[in-house]
Amino acid sequence: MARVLIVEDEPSLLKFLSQNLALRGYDVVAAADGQQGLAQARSASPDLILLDLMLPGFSGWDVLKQLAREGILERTPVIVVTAASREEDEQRARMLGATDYLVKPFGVPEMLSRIRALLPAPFGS
Amino acid sequence: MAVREQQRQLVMTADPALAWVRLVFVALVGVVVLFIGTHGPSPLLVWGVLTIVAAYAAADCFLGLYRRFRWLLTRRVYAAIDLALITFLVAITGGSSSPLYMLYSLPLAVTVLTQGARAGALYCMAVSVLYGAVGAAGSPTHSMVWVAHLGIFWGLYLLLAYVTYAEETREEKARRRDELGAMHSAATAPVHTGDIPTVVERILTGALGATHSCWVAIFLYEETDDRFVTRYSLALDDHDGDVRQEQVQVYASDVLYTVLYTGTPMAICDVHSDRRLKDSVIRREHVRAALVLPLATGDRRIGVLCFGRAETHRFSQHEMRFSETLAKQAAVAIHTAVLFEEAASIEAAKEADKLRAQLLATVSHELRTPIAAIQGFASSLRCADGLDIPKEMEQDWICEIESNAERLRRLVTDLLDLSRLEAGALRMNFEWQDLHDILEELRPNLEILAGSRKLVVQVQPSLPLVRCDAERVGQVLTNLLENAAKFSPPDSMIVVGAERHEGGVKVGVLDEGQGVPPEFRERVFERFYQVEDGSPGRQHGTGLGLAICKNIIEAHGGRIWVESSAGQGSIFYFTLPSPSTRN
Repeated sequence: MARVLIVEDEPSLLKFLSQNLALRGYDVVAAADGQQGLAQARSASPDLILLDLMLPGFSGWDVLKQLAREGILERTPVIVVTAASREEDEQRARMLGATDYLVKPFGVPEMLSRIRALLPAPFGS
Repeated sequence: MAVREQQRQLVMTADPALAWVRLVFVALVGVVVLFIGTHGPSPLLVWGVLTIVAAYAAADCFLGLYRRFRWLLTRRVYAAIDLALITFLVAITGGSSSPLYMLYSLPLAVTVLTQGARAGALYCMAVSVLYGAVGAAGSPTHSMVWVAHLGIFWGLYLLLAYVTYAEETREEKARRRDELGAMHSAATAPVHTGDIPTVVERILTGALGATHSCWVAIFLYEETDDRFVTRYSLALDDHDGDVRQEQVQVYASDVLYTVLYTGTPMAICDVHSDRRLKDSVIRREHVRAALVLPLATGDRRIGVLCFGRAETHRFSQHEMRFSETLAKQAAVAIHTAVLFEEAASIEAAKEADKLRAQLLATVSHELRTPIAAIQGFASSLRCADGLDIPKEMEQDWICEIESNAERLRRLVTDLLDLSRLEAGALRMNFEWQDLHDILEELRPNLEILAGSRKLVVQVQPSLPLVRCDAERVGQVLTNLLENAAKFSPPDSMIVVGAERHEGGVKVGVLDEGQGVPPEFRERVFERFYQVEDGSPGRQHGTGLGLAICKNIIEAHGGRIWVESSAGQGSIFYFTLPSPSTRN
């Protein structure tokens, strides 16, 4: 089963992402801040990471840099999920090693298509 | 060249009183001499004349040395008259044996001390010739006495010349040191701060000592619509060593504008008798001579530099040159400071733009978050085909949509409130209020907000009435209580207290929560600033509540702050001053 790590500090959005993915058969691991997310990325060895950028304290940018430094980015794709819609933010995220960039707000179909482009659908469909 | 011409004109209009004294004296001597001529010399008369001449010479020396009417006393024509007069007296009172020959030494002293050793030597030679002629015309038997007299005379000259030379060297050294000091302070003025008053003050302080001035001033002008307006003025007034600063108003008819327009310096030997200075700021009680110089760099005329002296004075070429150099240096320093100031204001505008862009980014982020939740859950409901979604989960999603819509509404309301408060566009409805009543009215609401926490309201009896907007103060209290409840555990205590404070009222809201770390105590009142401690549940507010509170309290003339120790809870205070203590 494909495992997805979601790093998102906003409880409503965390709920939205995790419940939708869980309903569609993904194994979901959730983290509410950067430190937690980093710890999960190390220990839970996810197949995909959904990462919010604006996190309290240890931000998404820091997480991205740390993942790159530890070599996790080489084997795990990261989709940045953020409300920061500026082009330079996207460029910077991609430069730091993010695979895709998803701007909030978005609907379920868009999210699924982005994830399916990187992960095989869990039910083989 | 024009300066020289101006100087000459002004010299002519100098104080005429002394010239009258001299004229009367010369007439008197003439009468006496005529008397001697008709009645034959008598020792009494000779000594009488001697006394008058000595008194005259003493007055001459005194005025010349101490009142510094040098330009008048040392004009060559007067020296020649003195010389001829004394020679005549010597001739009629016994020729080379006459004791009156010693009179020569008085003009000699004046000449050497005021005009220097070279002029003194010239004077000595003239005396030698004249006295020699008198001696030769008199009895030749006195030739030894005559030679001895001339020897004493030249000896006196050498002594005087030496004293003057030593004094001049000392003065020259002191002058150079002062001038270097003035140049140094103009050159090292802190121009990079763009603080023009400091630069101007520095230049003036340096110039005051170096130029023997009692009053120095700089007027900076700005050219707008073909017209100069005073941008800044500062004068240093040395009142017997007590230096005072003053800002001076310059009228449009002032002669300073002439200097500014023409760009040529102006030297004024006697300020009080010069008609051009009738309405000028330079014309003041204790300023007798003045030098006005333009401040310009390249094509840009920036102002005028003035030196005022306590006595009438003819500015020497050296003084003119030095002052012009100082003015150039000052102009460069001030112009650089102006450029730095302009650069700083551009920098500040850029900084403001950056802050605005940052705020916009934050606002957009804050607005997008609830929208993202609404859109997300709505599309989750729409795209649920083929999935087995529990009924409770669907209900929960609908609740999420509702609460996020509510959050969005609050955010928009708060943003509008805050921007109107900051623009001063939110009208406060000030009325005399008793805080006791406001708290009683709010109490049910506060109880609801406190939830399971114990709410205690402590109001000091007989609080003074304050002028405030009850609704807005209620908003502040609600916000503070909401915060207190949010950051403190259930079953803890929240205390709202009000007491008398400096004629007004001080209100405090105390909680037993985790407290605010010291580094955040100022920043919690900034927009969208939330203490980053990683604790869950930080995301309930809009991040604008405390910023709104601060703006409301400040609109009342009060102050809001937080006192706290980490882990021990915090107290948010605000004051509402009574109108009499508000400034």
